[in-house]
Amino acid sequence: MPTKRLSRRTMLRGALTTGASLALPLPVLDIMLNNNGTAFAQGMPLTRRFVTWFFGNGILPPLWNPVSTGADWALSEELAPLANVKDWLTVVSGLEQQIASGSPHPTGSAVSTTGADFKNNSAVLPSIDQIVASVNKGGRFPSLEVGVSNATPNGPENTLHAVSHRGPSAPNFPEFNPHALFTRIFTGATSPSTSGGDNMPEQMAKLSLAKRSILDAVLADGDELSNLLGAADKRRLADHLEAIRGIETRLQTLPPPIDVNSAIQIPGDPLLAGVTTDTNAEAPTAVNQVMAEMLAVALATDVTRSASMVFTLPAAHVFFRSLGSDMNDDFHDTICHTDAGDNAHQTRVNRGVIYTMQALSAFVGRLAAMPEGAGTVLDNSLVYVTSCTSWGKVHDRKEWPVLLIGKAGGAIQGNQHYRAVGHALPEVLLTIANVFGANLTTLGTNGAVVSNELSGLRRA
Amino acid sequence: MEKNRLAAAAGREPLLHPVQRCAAKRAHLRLAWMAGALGALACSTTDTPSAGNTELSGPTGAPSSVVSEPGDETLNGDLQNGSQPVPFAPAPGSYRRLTSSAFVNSLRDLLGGPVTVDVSALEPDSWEVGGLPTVSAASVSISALGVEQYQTAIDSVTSQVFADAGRRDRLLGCTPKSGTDIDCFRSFVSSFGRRAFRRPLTPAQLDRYTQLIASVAATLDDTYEGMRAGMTGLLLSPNFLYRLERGEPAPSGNGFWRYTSGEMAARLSYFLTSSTPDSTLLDLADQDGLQTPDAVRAQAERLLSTPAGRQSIGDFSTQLFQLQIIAARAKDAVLFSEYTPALQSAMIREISAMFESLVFDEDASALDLFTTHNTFVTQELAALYGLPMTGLSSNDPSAVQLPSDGLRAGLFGTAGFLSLYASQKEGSPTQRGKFIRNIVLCQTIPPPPPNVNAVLQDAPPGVVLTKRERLTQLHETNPVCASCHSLMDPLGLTLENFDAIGRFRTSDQGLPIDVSGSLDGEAFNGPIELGQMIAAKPETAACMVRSLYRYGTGHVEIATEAPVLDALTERFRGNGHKLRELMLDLVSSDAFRYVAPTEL
Repeated sequence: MPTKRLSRRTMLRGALTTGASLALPLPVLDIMLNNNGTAFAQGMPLTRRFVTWFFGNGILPPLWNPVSTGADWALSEELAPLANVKDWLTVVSGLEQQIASGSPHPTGSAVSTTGADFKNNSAVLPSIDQIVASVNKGGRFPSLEVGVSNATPNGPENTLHAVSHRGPSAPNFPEFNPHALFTRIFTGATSPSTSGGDNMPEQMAKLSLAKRSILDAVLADGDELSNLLGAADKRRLADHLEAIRGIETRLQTLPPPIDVNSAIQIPGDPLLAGVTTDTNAEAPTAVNQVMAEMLAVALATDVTRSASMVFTLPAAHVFFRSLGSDMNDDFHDTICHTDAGDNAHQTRVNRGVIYTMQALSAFVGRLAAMPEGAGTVLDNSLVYVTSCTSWGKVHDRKEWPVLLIGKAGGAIQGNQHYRAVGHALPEVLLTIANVFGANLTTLGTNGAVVSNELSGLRRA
Repeated sequence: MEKNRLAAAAGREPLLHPVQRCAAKRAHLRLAWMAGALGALACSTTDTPSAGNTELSGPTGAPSSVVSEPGDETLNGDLQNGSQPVPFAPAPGSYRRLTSSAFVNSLRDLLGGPVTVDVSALEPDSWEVGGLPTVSAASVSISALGVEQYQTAIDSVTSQVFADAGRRDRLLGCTPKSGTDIDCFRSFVSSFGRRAFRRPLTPAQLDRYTQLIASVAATLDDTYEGMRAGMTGLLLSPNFLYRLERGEPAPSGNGFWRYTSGEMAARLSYFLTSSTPDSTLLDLADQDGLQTPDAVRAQAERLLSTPAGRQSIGDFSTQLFQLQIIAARAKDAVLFSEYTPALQSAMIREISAMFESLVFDEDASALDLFTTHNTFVTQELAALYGLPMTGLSSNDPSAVQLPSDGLRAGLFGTAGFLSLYASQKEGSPTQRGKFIRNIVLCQTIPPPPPNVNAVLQDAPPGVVLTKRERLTQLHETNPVCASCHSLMDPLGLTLENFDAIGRFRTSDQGLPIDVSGSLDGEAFNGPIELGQMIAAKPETAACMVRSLYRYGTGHVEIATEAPVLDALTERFRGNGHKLRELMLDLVSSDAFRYVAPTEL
């Protein structure tokens, strides 16, 4: 047993001739942990991660809800693809999205991710991933927003195009381009003209310093401007300047290295594998695979601790063509809204939901396969899965689809079907926020505020 | 009411107050008995401004001073023609980020020529306010990813420029003798910075960017990389990426502020050229020479006579009709193998070219947009329309005449409009109709009532229905749906001869297509008649004025701007709906030049 311990904040530092230094972050190594592998050696809890995993167009509640709630609860047909992670799975059924709306999808998106309806085409409150990011700091990026399919009905509402919001008029649009995501999070912000060779670290340090000098000048301009602006505009400029400071911080540390832990490999550039943006509105498996892999590795290597994945956007006009020629119809307009059948008998909807759950399984399966301490990354994560509606055909607001996958470092019981009839959807958001230490007593806006958590989700 | 009596005397149908208009619309419904049940339905008023009242013959009082005479600082914009007298007061200022197209165009003009920017790799424009990215750019807050995307794009374009020594040297304006040639660095920062920031740099800014160049030149041991860093920094600065429109106290002392000449230069250039102010505008701004309506109008005339000025009309229509979505919109590849990027691009450009030609070449009524047989097609688009392809290129649209006996004319016959308001597989009468109501007539359709039950009766197996029959079943037999869908569907159903990419077809699954319909009680048969009817409606002209007003000023009009809007609409009607004149009138108006003070 090694007696020397490394701090989680240990970086490999190089002394470079320019005086600039670059740091290399590391994934969690055994040498950093206590003897049980359940916490850092210094007694701090292991890193925890949060992800909103969003899909559009809802579910078929009788085929989604498990039948029983006891210890012998079993997965439903639509949740069967999640068998590989049942031990980490909490199904929350019976929640109601209580705000009736003439625009059910933008409202469903807004309430399921922020706890409040949209107003003036914008979210009103920050979304749960941003609430968690504000208290669960430490990753290279404050948060990451990624997506698989950008199929959309188009419309002015921000909550149709994003599930992550910093506040009103402040959407975080997902990155749908696999190559762009790869470049952003795994190659860092170094100049594309970096050449290789023996003095590469030194050259990168110089480029980093040069870029930071540029951004310093830009920040100084911003500070001067801020004094001329009213309150709302000052906040908007502050967002911009904060983002620049984030870039500067990342410019001081290189992205994670390769192959330190063989179970966590930095993936290759998806472009080299021929996987590109979904331009046909099909949510292809190949795009999901690369996006899920990149996000999982990002979470495992502390590239970020808070993220959102949009498999499909609210009310997505997606075509699941890979499921067969008989699925070549608009999933929202045609399949959900006009296919014959009640909420247990729309066959094509069912196939789309199962396909979606397979995509989810691919992502959480990766988290479950990445060892960390005595367990896995999924043990230390919480993935919140939801949609913009319950049964899409009638925009049902009862039996809202909510899953929690992961145990959030031991805070969540897992392996449970929790029946929450009579409870409002935002209660799950309040629960999640407080699991991560936000210490909120309420969540919501005037007229629709919750103060109750779903305490039965927590580990006793 | 006074105006109703006058209208009745003039033999016209009385104009109703917006609330009454909405109730009358409901009473119009075939299922009028449902109007009571729909009482809970939030019925939005039509969005037209009180400009609708200018239908009456002439104002009964003094003409409003929309276009001030030189030296006339009177800003009382009261209308005396029976509308509620509202004294003019300007809207507040704004802090607006460049839209994607303004960003790309500005880079092109600052860097002395085209640069390669992947617009799809930038933060998407927001549409949250006023139906226009230009307006929404003043309220939306950029994400962290968006800021990084700017950094990537600007690093790329400055690299492109510096890779071309001739272009680089022209932009730098001097050849640096060494990594410490401060004079060259400072002269570059001063001249380029003034153009990038759209005003001269402050001493602090001059020092800042000069020192940046020297510092990076030393760090990288590369003087040109130092200068590129200076250029990159100036373009990453909020002073380039955002336009502050704050104003300064105006000498007339009426409580209004006025936009500075520098701000006016940018307001004019971004409205009328979709790009950064040129040197003439910047020089005038330095001399505070954009403070009178005459000076402003003269510059506007000059800008509109340039190619970029011509294109501003196309940019306006592209934004208003949301045509850029076409570039990212997929269609069923099996059904529509001719739907290629070349066709998509041609679809977008056709509408711009059609509108620009009406306004600049023909000096015609802007409302001819809904009836014209003159259009501009590439090879791909000609093939789609069944027109001869001889002499047509794949890149640049050429002028052609649509057949005078066909069903295709004006905006409603363009593949771009028909394709955009359609699904991947079929045209959408409801979306096409909603577009006409919202965008062409400025009428708001209320959203569906909450908890609407959208369950359909299933068609008997083996029965083939036309789109009209399917929609009738869905939208019109269900009274909760019919109240609003009867406002939209008939307008779109008349376009059913055009499929999901605007191809002409004679039947719908083998069944004949019925193109009859009615618009607010007036019957029409087919898209040609609909286009003519739309062009003749007073709402259409008023709506076009309002849309251009929002686009040009960059904000949604507030109540105290009504006098200006009303007067602009009246002049627009009176001069034959000339859009170029409307643009000139707008920029010389008080609303474009004055601003409410900023509260800090």
